[in-house]
Amino acid sequence: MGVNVNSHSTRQQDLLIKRSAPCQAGYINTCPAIVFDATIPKTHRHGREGMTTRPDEKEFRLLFSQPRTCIGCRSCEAYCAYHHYRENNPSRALLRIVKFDNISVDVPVLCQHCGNAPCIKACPTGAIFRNPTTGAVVISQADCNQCRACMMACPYNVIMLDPKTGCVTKCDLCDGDPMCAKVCPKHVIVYERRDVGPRILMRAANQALAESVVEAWKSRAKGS
Amino acid sequence: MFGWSGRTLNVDLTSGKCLTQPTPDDLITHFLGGAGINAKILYDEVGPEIDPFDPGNRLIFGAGPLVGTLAPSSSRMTVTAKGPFTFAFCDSNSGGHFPAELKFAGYDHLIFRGKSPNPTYLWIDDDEVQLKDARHLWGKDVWQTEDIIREELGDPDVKIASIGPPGENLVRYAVIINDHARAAGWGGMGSVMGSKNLKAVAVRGTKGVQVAGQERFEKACLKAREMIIKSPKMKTIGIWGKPWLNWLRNEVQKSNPTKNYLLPRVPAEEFNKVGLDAFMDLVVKWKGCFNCPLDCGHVLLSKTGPYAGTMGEGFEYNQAIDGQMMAIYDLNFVLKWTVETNRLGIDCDGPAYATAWAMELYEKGMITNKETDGIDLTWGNQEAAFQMLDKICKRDSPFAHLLGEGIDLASRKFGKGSEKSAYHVKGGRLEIDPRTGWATALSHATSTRGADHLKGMPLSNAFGTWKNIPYEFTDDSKLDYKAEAVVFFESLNSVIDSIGLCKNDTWSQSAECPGLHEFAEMMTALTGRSYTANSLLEIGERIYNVERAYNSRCGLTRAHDTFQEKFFTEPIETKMRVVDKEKFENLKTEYYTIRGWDPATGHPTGKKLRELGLGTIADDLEKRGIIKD
Repeated sequence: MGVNVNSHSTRQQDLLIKRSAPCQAGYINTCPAIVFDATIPKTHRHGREGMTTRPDEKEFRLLFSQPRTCIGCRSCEAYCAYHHYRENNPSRALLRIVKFDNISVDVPVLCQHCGNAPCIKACPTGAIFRNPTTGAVVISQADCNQCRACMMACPYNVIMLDPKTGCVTKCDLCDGDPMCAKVCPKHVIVYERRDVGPRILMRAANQALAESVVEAWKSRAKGS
Repeated sequence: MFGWSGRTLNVDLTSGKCLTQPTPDDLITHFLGGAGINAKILYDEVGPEIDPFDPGNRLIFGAGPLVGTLAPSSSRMTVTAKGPFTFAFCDSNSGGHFPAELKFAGYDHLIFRGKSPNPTYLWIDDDEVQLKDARHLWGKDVWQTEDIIREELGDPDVKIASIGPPGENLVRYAVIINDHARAAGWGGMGSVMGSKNLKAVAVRGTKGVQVAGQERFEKACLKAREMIIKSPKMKTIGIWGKPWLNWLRNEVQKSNPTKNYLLPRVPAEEFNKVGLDAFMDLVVKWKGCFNCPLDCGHVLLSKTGPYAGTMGEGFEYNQAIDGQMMAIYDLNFVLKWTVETNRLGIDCDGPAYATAWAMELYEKGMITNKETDGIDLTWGNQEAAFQMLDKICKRDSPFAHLLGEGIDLASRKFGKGSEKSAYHVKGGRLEIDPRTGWATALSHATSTRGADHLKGMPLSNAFGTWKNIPYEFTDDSKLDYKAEAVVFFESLNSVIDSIGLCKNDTWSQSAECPGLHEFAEMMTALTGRSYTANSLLEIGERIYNVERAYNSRCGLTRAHDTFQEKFFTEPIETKMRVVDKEKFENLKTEYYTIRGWDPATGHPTGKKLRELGLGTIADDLEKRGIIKD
């Protein structure tokens, strides 16, 4: 059955608010990372160095997404899995399109490679670290002890278990050239510098508004 | 195995046994997969004496080799069975995410035999397959069924194909809905599923599809994807969707079924209510199927009027006609109609055409309020349309039961000359006016599953590209190349349905989109077997011959490839005015000759069948005395 106009937009906004809420509400500060902090020997903390400094540098690019215009085709999932495993198997993809079929909304959920990454903090073995060339937060499978602390710490719940190996996996930005952004037909996922990306999405979201202004001018001209 | 998962799941509903078997290599070589293999299985297993609702009928799901892969728009499956309203060969195609998931779970085909003693649903979790009790789901609509099954299985992302009450009540045009709003819509496959007491199929797949030539395949797929994104389709279908065709047919081609064909097109004063602007006012966002760059689906929201607040995935060209067939010129109504039919699991067109037919009888005084249970079936009555839809789904009165039979059967049972205003070919209702053009008329008449534009109607200039000749498909009033073009498109569409791509963004509907050469490249890279454009087309021809041979066995002949008298006699504004009967018969003769079939009967000849490697079918038809050696 149909959904009321107002309830639809409210639900969509709820969705967005809920998604970003954990970061704003200081969820990171209460995550298990604090507990681990005192107990991990320093030698295991190689991932910590440069943890917060690198993504602040301008030239690093990040993935930005826009759920409002996502068409839910999952091309990104298909190409992600193919790029990493050479297999047509989106269940192994490192990002997800969460589909809410009954309200027709699709939400791309992807790793934000957080500036102050809670998964790096949470990892007791130092298996998660930041790639110095791309700025991506990546997992070294050899060092991972499968404790899944990172999954609990992730504010987006985007660290997943691979259905084939059962191991913890996460986005690695395809070594600086992410397939998801390349194939997204609607530019819902873009890979841009942190000062450019938000503006590109802002422009796309407001294009219709800009066009309607011109339409209004034209109709006023016709009327007079 | 590469491309194909190489496995077929045989489900015997009578005994409850599920058996996974390898898909025979011989079938894969000769029929590719999907629709092709489905057709051959149907021919081998369901004889002409079996009723569509008999447990002896088969319900076959088929996903081709490219389904679930990187190939653009590669999530189409074909559901095949003996058709409940054509009483002959019938198949139906659906998109969404379900077909890809089926491949990920590791199955090319699902074959349902027999009839379950109790309502049941099939749960496929990769290698683990089981039939589960569905007594608590019986009577629930499609969306409730999806919700309950997901909750029961504890996974919100399980992909489900299910039927609603119309399928259970054997309404002959009930559909199978998957992914909330994608339907195997033509042919009444939902009622065949209902006749087997099968409520739903739920799938979760994590195995994936393996690739032979990995780098080459990725390159080929990216190239095909690029072609689609650059094609004009992205602007027309990608933004306006199919209702764009409503404008094209009404304003350019001047033929658009309206008021049960009493009017040649929507009157000018009403058209702004159902035109493109009215449609775009409803759009809130776009939707696409698995791995498809072309977002032809729309999410629509009714903002004013009695249906305000109705939201759902919305409609194509044919739903837009549904309203105008009942003389209802209101897109908000069409949206509500689409959402309701999706929810209930019934073909959006079936009840609309049946109600339109009843409205004509009501106007002529052939039926009264007594037969309709007090429903006022005057033209344009929106409330009556929904009341009728509800009754048809339940089939709870003699008249609603009659309408649930489909217009062909209903008009024959009702009699009194009502057959004259039931417009169909071989039981399949006519959704495009044959007076539009020659190729339109020929393809609708000869289609193997009743009047249908997706089997052989030329909807692009691909025939010209292929033959390297100037060919403009919109210029349909001239007779040159028409038979050849229809033959080409029938074979091409058989290939597309069999490898598992969508017709929207391939040669079938746009010459700028990927065609046979791209298919061959993708198939070769994916499967490691060698394919060329010509070899694919030959397989397409073979598949179409199987479908035609099946119909010949069911007693259909050249005489059935025709229309009601109206289209031969009553002129409309199109360039062609009417379908000239003599020219039409000549065109049919030309078509059968190019096909290598017998022009006198329309049956495939033994020579042609053997040439295509269909010796067993030729022997079978000869044994039954349908064709002579």
